Amino acid sequence: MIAYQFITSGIASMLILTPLAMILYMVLRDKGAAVLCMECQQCRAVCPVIRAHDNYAGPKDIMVAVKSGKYDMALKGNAELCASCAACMERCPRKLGADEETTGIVATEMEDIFGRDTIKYMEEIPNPKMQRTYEAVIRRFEGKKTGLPWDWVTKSTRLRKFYNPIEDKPMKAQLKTQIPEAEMSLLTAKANLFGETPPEPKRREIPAEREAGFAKPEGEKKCEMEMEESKPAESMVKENPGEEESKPEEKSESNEKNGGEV
Amino acid sequence: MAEKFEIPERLIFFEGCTTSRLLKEMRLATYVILERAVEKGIIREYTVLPNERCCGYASMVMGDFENQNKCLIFNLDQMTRLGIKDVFFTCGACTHFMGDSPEFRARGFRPINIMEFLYALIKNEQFDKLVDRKLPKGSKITGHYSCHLRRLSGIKMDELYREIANALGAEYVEMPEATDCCGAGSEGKVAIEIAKRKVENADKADADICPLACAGCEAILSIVSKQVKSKTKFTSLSTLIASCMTDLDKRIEKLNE
Repeated sequence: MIAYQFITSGIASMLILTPLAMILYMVLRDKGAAVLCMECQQCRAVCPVIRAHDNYAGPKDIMVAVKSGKYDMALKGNAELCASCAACMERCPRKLGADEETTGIVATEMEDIFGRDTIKYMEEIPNPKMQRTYEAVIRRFEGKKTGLPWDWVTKSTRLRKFYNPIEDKPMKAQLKTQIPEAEMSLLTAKANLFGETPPEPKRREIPAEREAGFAKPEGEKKCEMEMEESKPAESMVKENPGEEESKPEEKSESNEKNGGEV
Repeated sequence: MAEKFEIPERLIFFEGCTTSRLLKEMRLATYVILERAVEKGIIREYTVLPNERCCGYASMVMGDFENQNKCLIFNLDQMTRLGIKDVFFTCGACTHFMGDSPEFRARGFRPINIMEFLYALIKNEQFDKLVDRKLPKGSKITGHYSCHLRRLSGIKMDELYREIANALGAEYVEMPEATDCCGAGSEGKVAIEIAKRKVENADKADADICPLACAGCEAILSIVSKQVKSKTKFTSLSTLIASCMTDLDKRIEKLNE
């Protein structure tokens, strides 16, 4: 009898508690860990952004905004300035981080514009027409005071340079094109560290990949070479004015030769 | 940490967007280090991903978790095809967001930051093979404990900095508020204000060099330190190690061939 009562009461409690738990889950799901915040303000003491910016809401206020579902409030407090350093998470007695909540806020606010598809957005932006459309959209939103900050425009432009979903080029192949630029700065850094004299800038041949855009016919290259060779001859010419007349003829001859070769 | 004392035999060098596109000097220095490590027999081989994409951090910042996952899977699929399990990072954000992701761990990959790599070399007495000379006498090194590496990935930065400074023959001095953020994650003027505070702290410690193990920190601190005309030089760890090679110019020539 006792066992029967135990089982029935168990089943009854399951039937009542499960839907209740589900409803509770549905309510709290979007609020995430923010509901656990006890607003002790320990996070404010360590946040580096609060020190640098007076109008930043701070991790605690972001948590309160998420708890109450008022994302506008968080955005008015410049929530997007969060540096994601997790200093608040380390200090928090319950190990809650404001950076995750900030990302959640941004995701919700940006959903209308990008549809959460940043790859698609990034692919479209390089097109100048899309750039203008995007800016127009942002301006329209800003005019309506939705709380969307202008900083996002700069941030997304900055990200676009980093984020390269379309151009899947072999990474190591790009290294060679970068070497001429990087070599000097690396050697200078080395010289500065050890108090040596910095190296003189080297003249390197332009890599073939980079040169491809500015390729010249072989004839022109030869012509340039000849011009360089003729420079010391010019100084000689000034000393011997009698030879001045012969110089343009030589040039024209060499041009004709090169033209014929091309 | 104990398992990371082992030097991996084969490595995948995951460059990351900031290293490959912005910090060209750091990228070149890292290649020089890896080439030398292969030459001296410290590691057997290293490779890079044929088509590398963002680690997913950029998408995550925008709140786009779906595409963050897409990028991650795209990279992981390539790594799986390469069949190498140790992934080498020079960026703190990549080390954390890619290296600590459940999918990455589930496929059996192991993340190794450049700092951990150097620490493993020191512990296995292989570090001297990598450098020809030590830093000038009396030079002081200070450390910036990157948020992604220390707080999120749980790497004991102070211990590693001390070991590396000792190995390079320099004195280690800890700057005040060494665990504070450098500001790279924030935006505009706020980021610069935070970075300025970090540079001031390095100057307070009277340090000559502040080597950095995170590309994000390097990108902002190197610029701000030049603006403020700080005494402390903020360079990447790769640049510092490559500078300790006497035949650096020849090695760069070799890479260019």
